[in-house]
Amino acid sequence: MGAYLLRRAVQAIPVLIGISLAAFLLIHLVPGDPARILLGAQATPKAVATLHEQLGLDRPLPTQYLNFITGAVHFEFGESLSQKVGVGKLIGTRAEVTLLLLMMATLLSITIAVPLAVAAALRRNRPVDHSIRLFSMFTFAMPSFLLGLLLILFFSLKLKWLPTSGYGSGFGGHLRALILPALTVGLYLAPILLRTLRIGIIDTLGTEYIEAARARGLARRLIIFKHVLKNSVIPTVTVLGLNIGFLLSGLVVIENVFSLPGLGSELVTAIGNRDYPTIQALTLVFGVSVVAINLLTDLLYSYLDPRVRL
Amino acid sequence: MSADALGLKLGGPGGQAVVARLRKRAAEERRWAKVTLRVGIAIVAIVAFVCFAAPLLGFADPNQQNLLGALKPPSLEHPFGTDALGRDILTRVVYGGRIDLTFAVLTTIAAFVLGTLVGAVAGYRGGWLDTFVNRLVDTVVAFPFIVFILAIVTITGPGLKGAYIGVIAVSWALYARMARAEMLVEREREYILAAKTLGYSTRRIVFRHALPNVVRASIVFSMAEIVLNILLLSSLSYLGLGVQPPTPEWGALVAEGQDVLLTSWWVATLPGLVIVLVGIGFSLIGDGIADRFGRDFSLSGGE
Amino acid sequence: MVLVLSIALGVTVTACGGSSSTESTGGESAESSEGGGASESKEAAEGSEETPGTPVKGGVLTFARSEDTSPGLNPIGLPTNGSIFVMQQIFDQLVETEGDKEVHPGLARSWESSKDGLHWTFHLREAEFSNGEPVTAEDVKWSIECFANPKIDVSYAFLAESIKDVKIDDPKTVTIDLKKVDAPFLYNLAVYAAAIRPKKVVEEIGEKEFAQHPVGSGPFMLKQMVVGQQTSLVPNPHYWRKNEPYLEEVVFQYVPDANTRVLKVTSGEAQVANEIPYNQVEQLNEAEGLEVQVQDTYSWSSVFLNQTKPPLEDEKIRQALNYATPKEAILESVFHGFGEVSNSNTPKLKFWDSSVQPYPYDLEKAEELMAESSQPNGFKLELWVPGGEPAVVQTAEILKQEWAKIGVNVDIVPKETSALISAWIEGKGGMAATWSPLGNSSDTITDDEIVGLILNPDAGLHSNGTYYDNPKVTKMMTEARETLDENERAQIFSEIQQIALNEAPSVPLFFTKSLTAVHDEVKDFSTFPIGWWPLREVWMEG
Repeated sequence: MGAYLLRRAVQAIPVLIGISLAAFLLIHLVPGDPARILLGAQATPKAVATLHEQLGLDRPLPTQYLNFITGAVHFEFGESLSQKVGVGKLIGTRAEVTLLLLMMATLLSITIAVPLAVAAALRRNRPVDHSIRLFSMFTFAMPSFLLGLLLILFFSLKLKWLPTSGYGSGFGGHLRALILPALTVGLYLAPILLRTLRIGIIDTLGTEYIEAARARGLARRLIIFKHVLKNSVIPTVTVLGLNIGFLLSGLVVIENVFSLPGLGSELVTAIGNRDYPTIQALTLVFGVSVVAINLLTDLLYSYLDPRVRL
Repeated sequence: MSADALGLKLGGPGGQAVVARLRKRAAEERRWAKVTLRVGIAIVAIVAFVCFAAPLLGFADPNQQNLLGALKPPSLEHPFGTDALGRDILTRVVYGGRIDLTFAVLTTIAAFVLGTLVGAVAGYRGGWLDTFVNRLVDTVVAFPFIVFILAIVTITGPGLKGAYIGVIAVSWALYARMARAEMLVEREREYILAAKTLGYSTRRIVFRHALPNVVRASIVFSMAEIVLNILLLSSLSYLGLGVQPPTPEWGALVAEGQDVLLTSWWVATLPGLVIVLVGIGFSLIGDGIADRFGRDFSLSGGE
Repeated sequence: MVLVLSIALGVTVTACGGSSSTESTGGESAESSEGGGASESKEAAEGSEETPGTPVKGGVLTFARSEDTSPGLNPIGLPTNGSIFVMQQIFDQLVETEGDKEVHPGLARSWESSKDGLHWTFHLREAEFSNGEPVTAEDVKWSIECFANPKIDVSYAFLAESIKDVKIDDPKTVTIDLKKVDAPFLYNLAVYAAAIRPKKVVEEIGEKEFAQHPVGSGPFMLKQMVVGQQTSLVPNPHYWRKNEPYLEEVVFQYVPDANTRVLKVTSGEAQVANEIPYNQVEQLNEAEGLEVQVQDTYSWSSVFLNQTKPPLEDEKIRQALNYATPKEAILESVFHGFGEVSNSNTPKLKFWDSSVQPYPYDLEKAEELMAESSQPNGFKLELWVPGGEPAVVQTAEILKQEWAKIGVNVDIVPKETSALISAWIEGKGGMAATWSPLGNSSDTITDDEIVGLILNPDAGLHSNGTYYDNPKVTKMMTEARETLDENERAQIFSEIQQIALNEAPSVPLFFTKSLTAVHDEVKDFSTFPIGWWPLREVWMEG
């Protein structure tokens, strides 16, 4: 186990270097000068030069990259160019929002997917199954901002149950404010889970030991809960782990629609402002999260299925 | 797992009944798989036909403005209503479909072919090549897609060039990962070993014998990807990095319409529903293929 | 802030419908020797439309706002409109800008200038910062020196370049000496960057920290700032206007998505929401209990033409484009009538001349000009637009259709905002025309700053990237700046307006309006044309 973790950690190093290098090169290739953006139209070339110097943008690129990497190793990401606060602090406050949103979305999607998958698998090829599958295909193919807006229209404006947007105040407020965005993400994620789960359940139902258990007259419900669901968790966890990277990206749009001060919206702002330190740090944070979540998935995998050896 | 094999193994009392039940179910399954596949293909085919044959079907210029007839709700004359500049939304949807379907299908095929080849070769050859591909795939998967695509689109400027480059440059990785994982299993199979002993070249073994077995999972996944690629265009439009106006593109139509969603629901919703319809079509095809092949697939492929 | 990054056609702002061009109130005139004594009594009457009823204390105002206060609240530094408009609630300048086109007393209760206009003496009022410390002449001297120092005030020092030095005459009197006559000097002192800051506090905690913990003498003080989310202000207990402000708290919530803002104000979660989309005004007005305020701004929209890109060096072609633009139709269909057809390359500032005739929509005339031009058979031209701004994109689409009628084949190229600005400033790419790439709103109420920016080739940006260069106009700008007589100044600017309109470095479209949804219980709310709101006057009913 220890050796395995070490091996994985070593494997992650080239990945993280690759990510940081790609992020650095990409944003410097993108046209647009942060100093010019910060200063505005009236700025003289002299003022732009002064600011370049102040921001350290006049140094050669390799030096800038080395500075970034040296800092990153010490968890020092410098100061945001446009927001004038430490990048670490900036990301810290915003990570909370995104993390909470992701957790709620995952929870919601499981809550939606599991019962539907069970119902669909048990009534395979019956109308129930078909409608559930159609429903999931429907929400899957819906542009997320449209889905989000429609949810706001219905739950906030019509029923007045939930706030339209923002992050609310206090933990209870946060949770309430996150229900609709989490549902939007959840409705996108649930179909993927549902699909995997449904097939997993059908597969497990068809296996010998279940047939044997049924032959022994075990209650159907018991079989489903004891054996089938347990076996279906594995593919579900895998799917979640695989989608996390994609999800993080998808949050950009959701956070914008719901005015959530999360990492996604920060990323868009930072790109718009050419806020180099923030973009670099965010990219790295996203990368590390994906690597970490994939590792967790694998660990969980081996825990759930002893046949898988690490 | 075929019903016969199961029946043989089960044997004993009650075995006959089980076998009969499983046979029936398998037959039913095959029938539904066929139906699913056919409905899916029908939906996609009809939409594609209408889009690509638009001028023949009497759809006029999608960019024809009529400022006096702006934001008119659906009617016989304009089944999908008109947008803020009085353009017929149905016409725009129909012409937009050419762009979206082409984009989604081409990017998916390119990523599929590229990724599967790279993954299969890496998985078959193993060694440093495998390690390298593996790390590269990890890097691409862990790199925030949105940073990548936003950067690329900003660099390449407007139009779909950036979206094409960005999607292909990223999506191949998942196919590579799937193909590699499958290949690791395949290469230990008897027929490959047999081919090897017969002295066939690596290339021949990989391409002629192993690949067909490797791509099944990827085909199913690619159907979902087509939908995701269409959705990506809409996200880009929402963020202001979409196609060049006034080009009609589904995502752009929806993004433009969300601006007036509260007052003129049809502008965003109807094109949105078309995306959903096509999405369902591709999902059905994916399901049909999956059911047909047996459900030997998942979106996974990790180590 | 001249550079509004969220370039919307109608990024707008405003108040009180001040459309008259040369009112003369207050004590800013150069000859006036007793300064603002008279104008002090007028201050309460400025700004918003009067609402019957007596203001009461209390109430929390939640304001769903399109912009964030992200760079912090230090007037010296690199603020955006997002932070500037909030700073105006926290800080005072010596003189203030309100809804009209005059300056009003701020921390200076009155002022006078020497006959030659080179020495300006300000008499400070009794005022305290929100930490209870008095505002001293030393604070004023130091603050103005910061404002004028390009090393510290990187972005706005150019507005103070005429300042020679600042002297303390006595604890309540400060004199500013100028190097040369600078007619807009007093107006420039009303810019946020000239805010009076407590020297001791800034020196103690540093400029950076001050942005997070600002201390000013304005009506409000910062309670909490959560970047990307919300900023809340509470009354400054030491504020010098003793009965103001009325509100117990102002909460600015950052809501970037326009639909979400509308939903927020409709659902009652916010009482005010700014930048309402043009197409939703009517529907919001039909809703119970709220109304959309439509007010003037110092913002405008145009299509700028880069004269270094052939064939735009041909004046006839630039004029033809102007004649071929159906402004009224665009105004109606895209802007739902919210705006005014523009007759100038610059906004409706102090010396704007309403008598100048805008280009009419005249296809025949346009065709005639095209026929006489260097490209009688038409040409192809890129029109850059900032992506993601529906109104801008729609306008561009209409222009594409309309200009095709005179043989101009427009290729609409949406660009990400920052990339667009950079490329445009460098005069790069195959582009020829662009949408107000530099966002457009004035920081001052006189024309000097903006006219310089748009029409002066020697300023940082080559006439806003148009490379317009008329030595006569450039000379007139300097002349206007050195002329103290306001009537003469008005005359010069009017002439510049006419000449520049004829020579058409841009296709001016509209003076834009600010659209702000306000709930009925919010009283005396308004938006100044310059962008911010006199929140100290706002009160909530019951």
